Amino acid sequence: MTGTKKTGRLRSLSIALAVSLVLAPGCIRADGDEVIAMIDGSPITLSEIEGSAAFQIYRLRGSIHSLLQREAREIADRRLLEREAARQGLSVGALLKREVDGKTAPVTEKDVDAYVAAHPAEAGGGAEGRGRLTAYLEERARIQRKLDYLASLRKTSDYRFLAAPPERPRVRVEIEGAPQRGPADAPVTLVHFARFSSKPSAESAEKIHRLLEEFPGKIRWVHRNFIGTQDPVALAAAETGEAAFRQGKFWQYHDAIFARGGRVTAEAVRQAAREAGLDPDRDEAGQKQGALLRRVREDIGIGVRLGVQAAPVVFVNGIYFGGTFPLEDLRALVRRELEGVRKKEALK
Amino acid sequence: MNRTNVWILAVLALLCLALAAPQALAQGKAAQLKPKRLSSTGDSMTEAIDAELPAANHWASWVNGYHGFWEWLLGLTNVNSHNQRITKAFGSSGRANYMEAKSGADMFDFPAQAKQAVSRKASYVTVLMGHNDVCQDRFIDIPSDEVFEDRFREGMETLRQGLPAGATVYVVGIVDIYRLWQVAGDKRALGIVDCEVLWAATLLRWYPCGTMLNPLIGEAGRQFTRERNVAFNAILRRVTEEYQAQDSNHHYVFTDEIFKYPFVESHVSDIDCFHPSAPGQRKLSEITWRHGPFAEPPK
Repeated sequence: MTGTKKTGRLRSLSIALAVSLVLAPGCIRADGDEVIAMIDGSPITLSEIEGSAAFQIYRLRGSIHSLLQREAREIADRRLLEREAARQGLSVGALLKREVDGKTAPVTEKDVDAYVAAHPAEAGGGAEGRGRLTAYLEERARIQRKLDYLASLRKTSDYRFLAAPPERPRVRVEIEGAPQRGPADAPVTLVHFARFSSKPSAESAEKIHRLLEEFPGKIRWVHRNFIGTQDPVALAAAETGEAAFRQGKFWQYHDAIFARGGRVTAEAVRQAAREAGLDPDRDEAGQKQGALLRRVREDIGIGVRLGVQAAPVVFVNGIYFGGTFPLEDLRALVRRELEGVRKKEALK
Repeated sequence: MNRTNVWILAVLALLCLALAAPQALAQGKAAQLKPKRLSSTGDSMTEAIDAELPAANHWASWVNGYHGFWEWLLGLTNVNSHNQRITKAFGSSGRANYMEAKSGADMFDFPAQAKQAVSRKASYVTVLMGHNDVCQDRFIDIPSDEVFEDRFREGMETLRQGLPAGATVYVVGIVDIYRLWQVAGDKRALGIVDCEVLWAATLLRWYPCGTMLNPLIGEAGRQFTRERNVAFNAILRRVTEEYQAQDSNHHYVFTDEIFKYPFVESHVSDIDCFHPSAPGQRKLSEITWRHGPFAEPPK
């Protein structure tokens, strides 16, 4: 019991902190910006801080939002149970005993057989395995019954969660000195932080290809490397990409290497370079002196500053988009951006 | 030496012992050794898999982590691990930092890892084990309470018999993996990573946690796994407390504070949506140290 009380206190503390972070504003200026701190009488505003930490702030706000969501749902469920227990003149414990334990059908040998037939991977393990499976099925049935019962109570209530989720921030992504494809004045710029040796990166590149075809002339595609330092093949592939950029053949190489679907070996890197028509001797010095490596590191540094932790990530006009999400989501974001630009131009 | 001198020497020796370890004597325990020889047993959580870069990130381990020149140069996270805290609190002389933890290890591997810790003559052994017991491909593979307890006891017995007198064993309860799963949902909601896509791509190759992450098991399946998580933590607590009560030669401490801690989205790796990120490892270190055997007394 002490543990439960302690957890309760901890939770209350977290919530209090969460609410204060979400709700407590600093001093709001006339221009709507929030003053967070002062230095010798001069203000440091939220927009200044967001310039460098917008994405981190967004993530924290998102965590607070989901904490509030979970806790509110838990409180609502507890109230529903208390209300129903009071209606029936029982304690919550007695209500659950009657509605959950009392109404959970015991697991029979037949049930176990049926489960094994439907999940052949769970077969085996002899008598001990069967015992474990029976225990699992019994407990799962009880949990399921409780979930169903709670769902039936929820249907009798009008629950609404009112706190709005945080909005995704728009950040300034440096693109100078990076390979670009598509018109420089395109209304939408996609900056793809990617790793040539990763399947999800190859898949997100494929999504961008599709969008380029769907919205001709409307998208500029910028590539930035994002790799782990313990991935020598990815590093070699990225360095070769830099060499290709210097030789004006980056996108040929990019498409050739991603055509391998992220399954990349050192030989595949050399082969993709040959397919792109790279002169293997031309940038040998650059490689030896670490110039290519420095460029790759610069990309990683830019990514880290923007909040990228793992490739692939696409910034759509500065809005972070996880590259693992489906094409439809990316398409919707691009459409929204195009619409926004169109409206802005119409206003001019 | 006459009889009076012998008595004086004996009294002085007893006095020294009493001054050196008043608390230990009060509890009838061997004087606690400084935790200078650290050995960690555990799994991928301790190896800091995917904390900052894909694969093991030992510099970011909550217990063994370090932050030297290269970590500083490459801008890697300083997690302020137990290893670092020990050096700060007890000095660098005689320090040793061993990681016996292996990614994928479960309680079946604990006795072997405990043996390794004994061979290091460790004065401080940490145990954060059991994630791979609840995290299985199939429900049938989650061990029963009896099997889990037997393996844990075997490892603890190895430590009891082999560690130097005065050594400390710190058992940390299993992280709430249901919470990690929930947090992965937050990552999706925030548009950071579509964790289910990531899991689907890697689930069967090197990432065995079907009993929590497989979307087909449903909420009841996940809650069942959480119940096992809770049951295993209760075993870890009971057995550790039993050793603390019965073994006067060593010190044993248990905490399940990291099970209770409400980890948030940024505490979980974007690389695999499950293991603690570097900030998550930092939090693990902070919590376990605060509730551990060598925390500074509150000021």
